[in-house]
Amino acid sequence: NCNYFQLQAQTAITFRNNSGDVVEFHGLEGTGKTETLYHLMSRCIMPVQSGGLEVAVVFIDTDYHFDMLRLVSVLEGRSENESEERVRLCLHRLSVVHCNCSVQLLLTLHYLENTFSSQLSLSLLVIDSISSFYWVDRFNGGESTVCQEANCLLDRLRRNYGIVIFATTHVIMRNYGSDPGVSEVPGSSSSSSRRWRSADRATDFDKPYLCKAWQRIVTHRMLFTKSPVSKDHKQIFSTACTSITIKGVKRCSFHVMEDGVKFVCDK
Amino acid sequence: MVILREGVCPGINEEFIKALQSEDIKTVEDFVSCNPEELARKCSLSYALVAVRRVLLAQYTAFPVSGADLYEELLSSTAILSTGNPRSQTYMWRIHSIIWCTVERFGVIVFFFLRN
Repeated sequence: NCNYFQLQAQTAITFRNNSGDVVEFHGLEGTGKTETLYHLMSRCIMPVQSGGLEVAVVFIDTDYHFDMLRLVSVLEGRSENESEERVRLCLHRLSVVHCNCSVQLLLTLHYLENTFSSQLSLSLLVIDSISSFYWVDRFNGGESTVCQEANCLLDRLRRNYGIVIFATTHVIMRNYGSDPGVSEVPGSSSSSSRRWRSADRATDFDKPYLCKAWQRIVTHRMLFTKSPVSKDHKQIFSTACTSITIKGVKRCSFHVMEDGVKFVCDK
Repeated sequence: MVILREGVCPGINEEFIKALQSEDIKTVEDFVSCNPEELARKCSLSYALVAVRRVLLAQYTAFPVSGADLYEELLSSTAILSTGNPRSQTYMWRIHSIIWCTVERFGVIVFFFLRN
């Protein structure tokens, strides 16, 4: 169970022929979402002999906080005794794009469609984060067509090319009116938010708020939290995963170390 | 939101804009989201609109950079400076903090490693 991430990433990514999964990482700042992305990306771009999947990854950075040095530390930590040349070879499989508004994100996804169709080793698309422009788009007039178009395009990418999509979303709304132990939230209007209600106690910060087009394509949703207790002076982070294919909630805990994420097997 | 006008890209003239507006396409994102073949048929435009679409995408999209190139650029523009803080012998823990600051005039990204 503690290797759930690795298993899930592997089964989702190695089969480019199937319709890919869309995984949403949701959580407050500092709960390990981007760290987990670096962990997954390093596993994807590393060669097979080092335990990787040797697939190409596109990383779309909308917050402009992509930390290349951190990714390189994770890569060096995972592959012992690897030369810098090997690390550079891994980095050739990674492409980084910076987007500053949802229109540019939409146009970039259109541009990347050609890249996905021509480069068969490209199997993973990471968007960190997909909710960066939420308030700007709201200010410009509600659920804009740009957001819907972008999500339709993401759906098309995963169906036609079997791309797996990982996207992080910030917590910007609080669940006022959620009651621990009550599965149906009174006053919750959209069925999509009920769909993602955790089987047991809901936290205050797991309210889905992105447009319906996004809620429809998400297949797995992972809620990240930072535990108030620490074990051996190491901060414990945990994640609860709900999915449309699997019943119940899968939980996992991890520490963030200098060389990446280390899972805690406590089951 | 980029409005389609004459001169936004070579190959777009007034006739082109009018034909697109008849199909309710006013912005670059509307134009790029449509299927070019279908659009060429509906607006009776030549297939040159595929070329126009490619030019508009090249103009307005963010360009993907290879991770290796990004890493090289980072290494060549980074300097690590020690702040001269002596390592403390009494305490067994260290504080690492990385502060980014960009010196705009020299375009150098500087890391400060503070160790206690």
